[in-house]
Amino acid sequence: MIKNKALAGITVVAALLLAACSQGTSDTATTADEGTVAEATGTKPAPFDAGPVKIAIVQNSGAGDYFQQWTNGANKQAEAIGFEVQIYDAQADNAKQATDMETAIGSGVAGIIVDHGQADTMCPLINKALDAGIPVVVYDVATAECAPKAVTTQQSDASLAQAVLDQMALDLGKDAKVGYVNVLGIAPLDRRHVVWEAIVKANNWTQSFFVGKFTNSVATDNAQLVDAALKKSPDVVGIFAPYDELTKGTVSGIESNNLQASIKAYGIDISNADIEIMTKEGSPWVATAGTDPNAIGAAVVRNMALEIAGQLGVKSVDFPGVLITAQFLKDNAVKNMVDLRAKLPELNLASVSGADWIPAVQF
Amino acid sequence: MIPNWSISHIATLPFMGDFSVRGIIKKIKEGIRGKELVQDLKVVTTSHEAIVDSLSGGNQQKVVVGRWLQSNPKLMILDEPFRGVDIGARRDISKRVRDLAATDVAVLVLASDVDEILDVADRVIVLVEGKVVMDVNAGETSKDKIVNKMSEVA
Amino acid sequence: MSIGKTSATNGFDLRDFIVKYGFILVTVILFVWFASTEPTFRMQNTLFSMLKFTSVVAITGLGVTLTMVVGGLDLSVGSIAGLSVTLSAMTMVIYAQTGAIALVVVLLGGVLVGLFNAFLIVVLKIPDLLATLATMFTIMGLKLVPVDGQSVSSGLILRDGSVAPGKFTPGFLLIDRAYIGPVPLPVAIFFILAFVVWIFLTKTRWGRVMYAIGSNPEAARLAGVRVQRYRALAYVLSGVFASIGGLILSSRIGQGDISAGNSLLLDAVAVSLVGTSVLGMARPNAWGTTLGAVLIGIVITGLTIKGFPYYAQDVVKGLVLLTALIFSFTLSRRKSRFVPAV
Repeated sequence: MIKNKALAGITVVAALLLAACSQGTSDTATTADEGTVAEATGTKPAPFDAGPVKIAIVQNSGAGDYFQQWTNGANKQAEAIGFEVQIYDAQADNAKQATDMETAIGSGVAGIIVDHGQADTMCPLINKALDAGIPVVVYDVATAECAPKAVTTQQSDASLAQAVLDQMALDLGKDAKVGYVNVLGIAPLDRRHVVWEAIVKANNWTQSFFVGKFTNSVATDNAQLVDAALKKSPDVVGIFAPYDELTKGTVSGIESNNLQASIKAYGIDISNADIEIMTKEGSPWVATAGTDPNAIGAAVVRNMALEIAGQLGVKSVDFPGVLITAQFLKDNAVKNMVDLRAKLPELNLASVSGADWIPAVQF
Repeated sequence: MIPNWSISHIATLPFMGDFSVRGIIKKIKEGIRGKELVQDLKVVTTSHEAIVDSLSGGNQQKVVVGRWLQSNPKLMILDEPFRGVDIGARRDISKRVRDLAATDVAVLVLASDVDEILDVADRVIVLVEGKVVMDVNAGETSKDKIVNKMSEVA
Repeated sequence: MSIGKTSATNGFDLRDFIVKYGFILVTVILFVWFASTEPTFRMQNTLFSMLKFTSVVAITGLGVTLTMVVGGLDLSVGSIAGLSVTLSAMTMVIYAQTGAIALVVVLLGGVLVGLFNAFLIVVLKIPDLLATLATMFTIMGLKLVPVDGQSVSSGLILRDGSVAPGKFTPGFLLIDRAYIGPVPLPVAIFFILAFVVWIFLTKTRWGRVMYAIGSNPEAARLAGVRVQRYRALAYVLSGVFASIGGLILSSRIGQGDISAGNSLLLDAVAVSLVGTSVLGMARPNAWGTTLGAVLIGIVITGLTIKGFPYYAQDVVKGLVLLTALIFSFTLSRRKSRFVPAV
């Protein structure tokens, strides 16, 4: 009996050791998009000519659809370039991201990618890395002021808004009556707002209403707001809602007033659910603009490679958004993101931040 | 009884203030108290550092009762100190109580077993339903007298 | 009588050995394995950043250990650390006070929550686990009220439309970022506190009495111990330790992050529980908690460097805890069974 207990103890220790021994890979998303790798034509610069180069990706969070795709894209591109990647996932814990960053700095990598996080937390550490001679590429953290030597990358809110609003101007013409659904005080939405104001002015549109609030159920709550606004001003011909949850709410608001024949909705962002709504028969959502997180992850890694090789030359890189119209989706029988990537190669960003020695990954 | 504690630790628990200076426990002083308790009450054990769980029930009782006897009190009230204790342990405890009483300590023992009382007492007071029915020197009475008094209805 | 006598046949008892030294052995084996396969892991920087990462969990765990010593468990420590982050940010950013004042406010906050726990447990007689669970939820919500549920960072727009006047002071930020020689300050704080708790629990009368309460509160009461007073003391100390952990967190994050401390509770309780089994003591103790925290730190850092995903780390954390529980509970039950009947 006693012997058996001892055995049980040993078994658990053994299980613990076994669990620790099985070699994991950094590829977390097994069902993710595989992508295709283009051929590199140029010769690799130092240090890439001398075998694999170690980099670290310090993520604020790797969970959720967006971040999984982002990480997948980054991994695929890193593999193609010949990076050996350590991924630190703080699981949305800002303090852990800070210590992860310190571990990464101490681990002697050739470069560090910081993916999201708080500028207050990460800036001192980014500067510490730069002081230690480790180049840092930041994605979507406002570090331009507090860590000016780091490379900042972001999806371009201005270009997303510009792409869809150009289409809106084309559809509605000058002097139209329009509605607007947005929430100010949130950085990306504020940047989209700037473009909106310019377009409204340039086309001499009349803004009949401006509603919107940020809650736990954005789509539902904004549907009510739009519904009420349309009761007052049913004569608008177009509504801009620059975030897909807001756009969804706007679509419901239009439909509950049965105005889908006379009002067009314009949004930003794209997902499988968004595609379904846009391609529905008689849907008022006629155009949106989007990016592909896989492609952005890959492009960030290419920036890291260029920065390590000393070829980047800029400190800020924007990833442009791409216009996607409902008509385009219907014409090409696009049912989901996989179809969309196949039909709309611009989403791949393969031409952004490239070089002849970098085999760009396409999705 | 605190499981896995040594005799010394059990012995000093109620008097931690006497065994520490500015909160820090004086190990040597504590050890001496443990040793004295083992000697004075004839606790059957390998050492005063032994775990109380390893003692027999009677010897555990000696430790728990004995620790109060070792603390140089002026007045001592013992409520059923011999309950559940074998004859040998009872003799050892009552011997220690008598030794104490021989110095200038007042000892009051409450018990319902007449043999126990005659073992230890100088003066016997019998209470029935809260009233004193007998108050004599132990030498001037006997077990039968006491038992008779106890069964009297007030 | 003892386990050795009943089970050992020829001097060496494998089970006894595993129970006593198993954890230290596993720690050493893992350490050697990581160090020999990953050159990165060997570096002084990595080791110190690992200890730095561990320090908050360990300090908070030491507080939890104190409550476990008196037979309770403080589930509110994570929320106290989170409260500390918000309190320090409010003091410096919204009220533009100095770092020293923020430090005092945070520690007072820890004392107050500790007293509140003690009030629920000692005066209102609510069981420890339930009382501190209620405190946890209350604090998690309450701390969001004055900041309207927002993280507090410099430049925050206040309710009246004005901009928050202050910022995290450089001195306050040093709590996490300063070094004493080569040793990061939080690591130094961690080791000093571990030493202090060790002295307190094993060398002072108060620690002795607290162990008595945890083992048998009735026996302690009969020995003249003021049981409720010591239980209250344990919860106040736990609150203070959690708020020290929160201070380090706050200094590390550099803003009033409202989600800070959320993951701390489970880790802090886990290291305290793992600590009970280290050296086969089968009771909560300061070195055990320290070693438990370092062990988990080694495992997490090592697995991260090896490229394991975060969920694999959680699995391993769970296995470590499970092993610890088997060590101490299975062991201690057997121990009492082998004691001759009284």
